[in-house]
Amino acid sequence: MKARLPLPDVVVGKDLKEIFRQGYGRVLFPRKVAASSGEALRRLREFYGALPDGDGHNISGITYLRRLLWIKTAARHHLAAFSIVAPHTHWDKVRPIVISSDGNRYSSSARDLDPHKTYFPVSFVFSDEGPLPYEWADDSVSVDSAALKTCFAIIKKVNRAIHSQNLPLGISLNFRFKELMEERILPTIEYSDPGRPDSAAAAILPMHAFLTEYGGGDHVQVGWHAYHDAAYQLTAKETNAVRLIRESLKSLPETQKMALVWFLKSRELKASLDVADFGKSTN
Amino acid sequence: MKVQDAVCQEREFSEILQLLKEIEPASIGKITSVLARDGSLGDHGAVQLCGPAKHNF
Repeated sequence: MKARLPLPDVVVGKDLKEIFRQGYGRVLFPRKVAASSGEALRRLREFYGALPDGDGHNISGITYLRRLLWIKTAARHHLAAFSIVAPHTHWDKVRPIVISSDGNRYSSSARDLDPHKTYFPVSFVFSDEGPLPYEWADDSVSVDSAALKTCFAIIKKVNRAIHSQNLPLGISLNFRFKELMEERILPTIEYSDPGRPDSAAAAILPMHAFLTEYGGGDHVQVGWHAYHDAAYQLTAKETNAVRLIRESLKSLPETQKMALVWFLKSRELKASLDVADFGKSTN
Repeated sequence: MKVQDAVCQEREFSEILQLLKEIEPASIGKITSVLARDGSLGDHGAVQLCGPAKHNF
C-alpha cells in the first residue's frame, strides 16, 4: 500500500500518527533523509565533489536553491525564514521528529504525538509528490501563522522547480530564537549531551549559549543561509567586491584576514557616523 | 610556506586592501551585510550546526 503523504501544512497529531503508521518513515528514510549528519554530508560530497564551505557558495545546489528562493519570494526578508540543510535525523524512523520550546530553548527528538494537538512541518525534502516534511514543531513553538502560510507556499513553488534534480539538500524553516522573517543573524546548534542516551532529546541553542554551557565541543555544519547575493540589490561593482573579498578572506592567513575585517568594519562604522553627522547638520 | 606563495599572498592582501579603500561609503553597509551573513567577518554567520561527533556519524 502506498503511504499517505503529509502536506506542507498544519496537521493534527492523530492524523500525523496515522501517516507514520502507514509507513511514511519508509518514504523518508534513508533515501531522502540520511541516518546521521555525517551520512548527509557524505552524500553532499559525493554529489558535488566537495563539502560545503561555511558560506555554502562553493556548492552549486546551494547557490541554485538560493536563487530559486529569491525568485519565488516577494521580498528579501522572506529569505530570513529559511535555511538550506543537509537532511538527516538522529532518531528512530517510525515516529516523527518533533521540536518543542520551553521559552528559552528548543528540544528535538522522535516521539509519540498528542492526538489532539496540532503540529506544523519545519523541515522538508523535495519530491515528485510535493515537498515532504520530515520534522515538525508542536504548539509550544510560536510562529506567525500568516508568515508560516507564506513559507509553505514558497516551499511548494521551489519544490515544483527543483524536485526532478534529486538534490541531497533540503529546506528548513528558520524560526530559532527569532521571528520567522526577522533578518537577524543567529548561529544555532542542535546538541546532544554526550553523557545522555542516544535516544534522548537534543537541545537547540544559540551558539553563544552553547559555548557558555559546553565550552565548545565537536560539531559539524548542517545548515546554510538562504540568501542569494542578488537579494541585496548590489551594483555590478559591489557584486565584484563581495566576491573578491569573500574569496580573499578564505585564502589569506589569519592575521591578514583579521586586518581586512577590522579595516572593513572601521570603514562601515565611519560611514554610519558620517550619515549620522549629516543628519544632524541638516536638522 | 614558499617565498613565492608569501609574495602572492602579500600582493593579494594589498590588492584587497586597495579595493576596500575604493569602496564608496554608501556601499560599505551592503557589502558587510552580505559578508556577515556568510560568516566571513569572523563570526559564525547564519549557520546551523549539529553535535557532538557521536551524534553525527
